[in-house]
Amino acid sequence: MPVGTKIFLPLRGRVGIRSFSSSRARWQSAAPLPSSKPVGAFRGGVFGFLTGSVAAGASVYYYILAEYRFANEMLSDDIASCTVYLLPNSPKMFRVELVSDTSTATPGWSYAPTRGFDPAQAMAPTLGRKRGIRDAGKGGDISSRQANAIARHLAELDRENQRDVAIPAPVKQAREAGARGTRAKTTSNVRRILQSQKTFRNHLDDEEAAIASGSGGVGGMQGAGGASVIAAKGNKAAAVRRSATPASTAGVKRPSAAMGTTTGSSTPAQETTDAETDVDDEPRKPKLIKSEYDNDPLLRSYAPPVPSDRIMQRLLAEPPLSYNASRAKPQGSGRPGRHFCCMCGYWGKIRCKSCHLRTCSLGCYKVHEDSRCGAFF
Amino acid sequence: MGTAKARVPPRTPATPIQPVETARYLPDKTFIIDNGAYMIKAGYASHAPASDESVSACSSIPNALVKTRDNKIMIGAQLATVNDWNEAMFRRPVEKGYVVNWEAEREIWDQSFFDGKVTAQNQNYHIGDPEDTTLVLTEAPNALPILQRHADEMVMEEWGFGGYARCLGPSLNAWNEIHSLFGDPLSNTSDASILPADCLLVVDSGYSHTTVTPVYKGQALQRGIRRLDLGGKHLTNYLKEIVSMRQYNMVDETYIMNEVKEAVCYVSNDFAGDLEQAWRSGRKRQSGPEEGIVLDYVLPDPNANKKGFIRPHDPLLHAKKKKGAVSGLSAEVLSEDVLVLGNERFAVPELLFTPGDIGMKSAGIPDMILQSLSVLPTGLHSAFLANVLVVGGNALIAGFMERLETELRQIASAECVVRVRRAKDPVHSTWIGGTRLAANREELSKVSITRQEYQEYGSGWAVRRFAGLV
Repeated sequence: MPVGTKIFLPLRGRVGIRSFSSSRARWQSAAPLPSSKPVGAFRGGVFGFLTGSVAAGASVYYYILAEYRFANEMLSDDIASCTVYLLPNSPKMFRVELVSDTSTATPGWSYAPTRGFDPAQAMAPTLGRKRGIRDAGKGGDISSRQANAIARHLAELDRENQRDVAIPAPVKQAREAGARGTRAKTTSNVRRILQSQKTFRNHLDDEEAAIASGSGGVGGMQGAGGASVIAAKGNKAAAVRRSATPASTAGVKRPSAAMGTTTGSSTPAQETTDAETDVDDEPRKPKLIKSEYDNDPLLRSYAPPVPSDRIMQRLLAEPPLSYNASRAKPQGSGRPGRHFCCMCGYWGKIRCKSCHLRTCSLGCYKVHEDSRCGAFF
Repeated sequence: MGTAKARVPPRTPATPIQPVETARYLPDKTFIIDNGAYMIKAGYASHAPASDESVSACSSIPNALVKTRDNKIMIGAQLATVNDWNEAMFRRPVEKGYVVNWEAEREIWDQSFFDGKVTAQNQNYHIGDPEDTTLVLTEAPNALPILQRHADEMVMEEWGFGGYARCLGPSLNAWNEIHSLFGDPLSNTSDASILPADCLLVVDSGYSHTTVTPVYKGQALQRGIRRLDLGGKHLTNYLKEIVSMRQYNMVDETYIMNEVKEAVCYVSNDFAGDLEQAWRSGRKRQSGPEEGIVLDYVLPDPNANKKGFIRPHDPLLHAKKKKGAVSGLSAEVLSEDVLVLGNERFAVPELLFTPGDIGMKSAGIPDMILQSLSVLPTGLHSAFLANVLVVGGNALIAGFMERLETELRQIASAECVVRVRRAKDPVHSTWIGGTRLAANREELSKVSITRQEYQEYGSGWAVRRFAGLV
């Protein structure tokens, strides 16, 4: 306080001295302003702030409430429609995805496999159209454009000819008559098969649709449910066998131990026959050299027991897998993918910025950029 | 002929021998067709089981309709007369390994087996009287039931064979003389009857696909069958595509590129090293032909009636031809078209081992073998790994066996012995297996149906019968 006054007072004094008001009388006659208390201004500020914030809060609240109601209605609508679709006896199909391959124009009609309805996918937030389309690739690590390019390439490798050509079978009535002379006339089955224009893809789609609808082919999937049961049983039986029948496991161990000590030329395949005490295999049994070390614990082999005959019969009686199920799976812990120069086939070190193809060197890249690059991923 | 007989009681296919009904009439003559997508292997089975000379009874007939450059259409065995293979177009009835288009297949079969009279040329595969012949037809594993049914109906209703057996192609290989191949002591040579090998893992790498089939006592373990959708066709097309991109436009020359592939391609046992070497020799400026990976393939010239052939790469000749320095070069050299093949030689068959090189999300052959074994009981793993037999045309690619054995050894369990062998004749191995099956009449009659049975029960029954359900 004392510091402030010290500075301020001389100023005031100077203003008072060199006043720029014209008349002293006017200075004195000026009516003093009604003195307002400083407390009042403070109160007004607080009151104004409160009213403002309450008003703003109320409007925001009502806005959010309206939004919430709207969203709620939409959600309940969605759920209602979903329940309609998910009813088992609903006559509507929820989604029919035709296989989007233009090369499989089906003559006549065919089944179209329907993919299952995935609620998680349907409810997932859409992240903008472009990203959604781009990231729809199967593996997740490659974009759908790359996946499509690969699929196109594979389909191209699968072709017989580069161009589509129709090669009709030559018409030979004379030969036909001569060759068919002794045979019965064409049956309806044969005529139907010969006139069928379906490709393998069409047949495969039909088969998939049949499997999806539960009646897989010609009794093909009859025992499919039993497969896992057999597997479980097989393992269990093998485990049980190991402990319960020591005699047979000893039988397994002995020949292999003998093989280790003596020749090493006897195959595990023969072990199999030896372990199975088949009566009809008796004469085929190769002569194993017996030695006193056969029961030596150091020479014991810890090979897993050969499954019993009963398990093998069950395994042999299994129905074949479907065409798609028998395809080789991708490698589990795969090596990283290799990339090659699209021009010369050497390691691809440079990636083209516009089409993502690889080249090995600047020389190859120049050629690629000048003549080949034009595609956009 | 047999009389109408009682329905065969239902049984699983592997139940021990039932007495063969005497009422059944199965013709003695057995004709075996291994209906490959590229070649039909066909011929009569001889009664005396002899593996070596019986190959001569087997004829290979191209399974295709071909339209040549001058718009002539050739069928099956007629293709032997074609000289000009430029721009030949193919139509194949077999798609993805299965007979789909029976219209075309009937043309080929009719033309090959049933047409005209017996001549010296077709005496080995002419079927005069189908009613008195048992047909053994192979099929690829995991066929669609509808296609199996089509095959049965065509065989029994169009041609009317007296007996018929539809077998899995790979499983027939188990009937071959496997023990001598693997160097095992011969155990049952004195026995008159031929029995299949106990455990055999058949890798069949053919034209349309590569399959792995575990075969136990002559029967396939269905749950272990795996398939890689890459075969000889894809390799040829891939080579065609690469060469067209880098050198000449060969997209219409499927046949020629197939010959190039068979002549030059090999499976590398050191991929990175070979790639480096091919790269280095491509950069070297050196005169005269050299020994290395890079080869020249001189394309066939049908006008001069010359076939294609390989010769060592000569960079100097190429440089001269490029510059147009015609002095000192004969007209013959100037007229020929040469493909220079460097890393294409081993990068193409590499697809079978690393399908990821073309972006395919699938395991290679060695991993596929382990995938197949992983669904089988552990006790069988060592038996199958010690008896891996490779058949099919791709087995003839140089280095294939070594690479497969090396990779399989690396990933297989250390306790197991890994033995990979190529069949003596990988292309005809399945057919020979069929003849040996046919020599065992008892087994053959167990797996086949007769004409009377088919006429009585129909094609649906036949499909179930071959699937082992009836």
